[in-house]
Amino acid sequence: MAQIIMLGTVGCGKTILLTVLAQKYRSVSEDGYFLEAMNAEANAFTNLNWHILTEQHEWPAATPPGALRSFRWQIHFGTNVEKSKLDLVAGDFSGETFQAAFGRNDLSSAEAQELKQYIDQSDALLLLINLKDFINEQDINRKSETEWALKNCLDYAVGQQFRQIAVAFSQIDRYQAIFDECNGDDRAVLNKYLPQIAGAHPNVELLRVSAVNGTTITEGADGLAIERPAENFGSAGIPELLTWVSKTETRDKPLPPPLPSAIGSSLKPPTRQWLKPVIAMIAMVVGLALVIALKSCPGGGGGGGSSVIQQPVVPIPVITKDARLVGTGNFESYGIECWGRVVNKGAAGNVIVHVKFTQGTKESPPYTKAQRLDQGGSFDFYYKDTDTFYQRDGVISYSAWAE
Amino acid sequence: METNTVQDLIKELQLTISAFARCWRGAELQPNTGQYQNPDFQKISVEAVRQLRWLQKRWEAERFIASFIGSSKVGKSTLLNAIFGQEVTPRRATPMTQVPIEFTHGHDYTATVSYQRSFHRVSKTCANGDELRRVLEQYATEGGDHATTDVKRVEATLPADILANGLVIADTPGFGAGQVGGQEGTHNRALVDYLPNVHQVFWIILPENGMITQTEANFYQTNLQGFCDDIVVTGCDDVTEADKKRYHMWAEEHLGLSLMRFHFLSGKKALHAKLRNDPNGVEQSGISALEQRLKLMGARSTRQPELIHDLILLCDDFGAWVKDRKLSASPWPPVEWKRLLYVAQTIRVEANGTPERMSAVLERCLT
Repeated sequence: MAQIIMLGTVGCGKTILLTVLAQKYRSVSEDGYFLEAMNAEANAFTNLNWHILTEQHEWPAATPPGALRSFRWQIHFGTNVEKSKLDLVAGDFSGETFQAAFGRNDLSSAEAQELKQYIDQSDALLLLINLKDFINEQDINRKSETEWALKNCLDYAVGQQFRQIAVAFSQIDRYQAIFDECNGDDRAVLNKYLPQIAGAHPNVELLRVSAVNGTTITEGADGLAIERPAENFGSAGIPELLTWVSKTETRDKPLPPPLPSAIGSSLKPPTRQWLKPVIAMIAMVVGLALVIALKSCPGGGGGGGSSVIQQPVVPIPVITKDARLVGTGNFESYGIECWGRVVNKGAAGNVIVHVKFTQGTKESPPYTKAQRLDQGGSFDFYYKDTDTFYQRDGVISYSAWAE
Repeated sequence: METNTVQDLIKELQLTISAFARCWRGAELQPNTGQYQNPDFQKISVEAVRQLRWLQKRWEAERFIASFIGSSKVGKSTLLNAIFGQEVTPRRATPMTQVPIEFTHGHDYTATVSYQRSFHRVSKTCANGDELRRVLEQYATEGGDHATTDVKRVEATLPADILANGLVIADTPGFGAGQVGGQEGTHNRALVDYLPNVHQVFWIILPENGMITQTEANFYQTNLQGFCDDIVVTGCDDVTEADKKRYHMWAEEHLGLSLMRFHFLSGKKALHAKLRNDPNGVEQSGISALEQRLKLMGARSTRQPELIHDLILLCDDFGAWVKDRKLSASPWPPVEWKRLLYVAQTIRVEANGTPERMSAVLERCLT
């Protein structure tokens, strides 16, 4: 099992990077990489976001919380088929998840447990950093908190004996002046703008990446200029990133800790003492973290182990507050969609989610998604109705329930 | 370091000023009142960005259109005839221009008429300038035999030296008095619809009744502000230097036109002198400076130094405005500011007669 965690603050470009990565390697590249979408959601994610970038020349909206975790790709590289296949799984966690899991030491939610599992099962850590968070940020406290949180994250990874850690500067096309100012020395940039990280982790690998390397400007709604993806934009740093990814090897991981014995239980020191500094900082600054897991097909090491769980008697499905209704622009063209996550807070069993939109007498076609969930397990649901003609100005209500 | 272009610079300037405005929009909001400390900030920044967009459009123009705009019967057609050195535009004695006429260079005299509701065009080849003028009067002026509200634009070619470098000169409907078929505002509408196509506006004023009329002022405020660089004052047979100075001061005070260039001339004198082949008369008419400006703006290679001059003036004015506000902190967001200077670093310009790097000019103007 080889897995990479990519963390980054809100707006650092995770969604766009993943889109460009998946599109760039949609067919076999000259350097032998190929990203094969393994489910419809991954394929749709790439196609839709790529269309938005290249046809509409807009920035794709941030990926809804939880949605990325249901996407699957398989990476092929090299000629040795058996050794050159990796499963790529993308997931994401909201700042609230960090806050719940680390800030409040509360691992009772499925998201927090899932995040914890991702971290514990990971073999490499990639921190995506948008320099704007440090250079333009006028709030000194906020800037300090961000740096401190990221540093603690790295500290923790080192403590967990991660063998592969990198800091990737994202959107580097915007920061050429900053790099030139430091004579093109990435470490000097880190030292200047994130000195705590540079000092504590002098050997951390540094990468640069720009998924959309080329922008044009148009007039925004406020009359001021806004940047949009340019026609035929290029990218920078993607092959280097994939090279780094492909070096990922499994490490000896500790067995996963036991899950909390009951809903609402919290971790007690000293077993989770390490979490405290990480929790305090990450919860404040990491809005959305993207996890890319690379799972080698054959063989591979990695930890396993079962948890001691006090099993309730029946499933208790709960739709988390992430669930929400979103119209994507013109309803008549693009439909209305909703997404969310169902968490089983009861015993293992089958859980079904239903979603329905209504506007006046109109009603969407029925949507259901069923899955067996263990206690604490979760799945994401996503429903988009493009069949029903909804009035753009009318009120659309929706209901989603689980059983 | 890669070499950047002035186009990159104009783009970065727009982003920098926009980031500046958005940054201060947030910082300036008074939580108690919901009001901004400097309510003009947004408006002025939007105006600066709009002018930069205008500069960008002109910089990139392949087919540069210089448009002559003014109230009805201020002598546009006479002036254009003087510029072309021949009488090809519909004259004052005939009904007025109701659709834009674009003049481009050609070995022959031709006219091509485009329509609003049809893709078919009508093309006429003419033997000489007189015949071209008659065709234009038929299609592009009120009362012409073939003039309808469906005519969208008329393109004419003629062998005129001033057009040889690719310049397009547009004669436009006069705003204000004249209306087509008694329909209110038709001339204005045709003109306003056409304005987005043009790259240079020459605003023609006839100073018979003082400075400008209320109609002209209104039209300027609504449609031309920020898009007009040149004022052409016609009928200046005996304008003194004191009169010229008075014009400058008046325009700056009432219209805020510090970027404006004035051309004082007599279109009639120039036309007659050209028809007589009288170089001294042409010189005395005052039209030479205007023609020089047109030639410079027509070709990309000569247009760009002119636009750099305008760009520096704009930065100087905007920087002065910002400094006047006495902001509590440096207004420029560091990332955008560094990017701007980075792009400007490799661009060499001539400012105040001295070669300089654009980054130094911007630092002087904006900080």
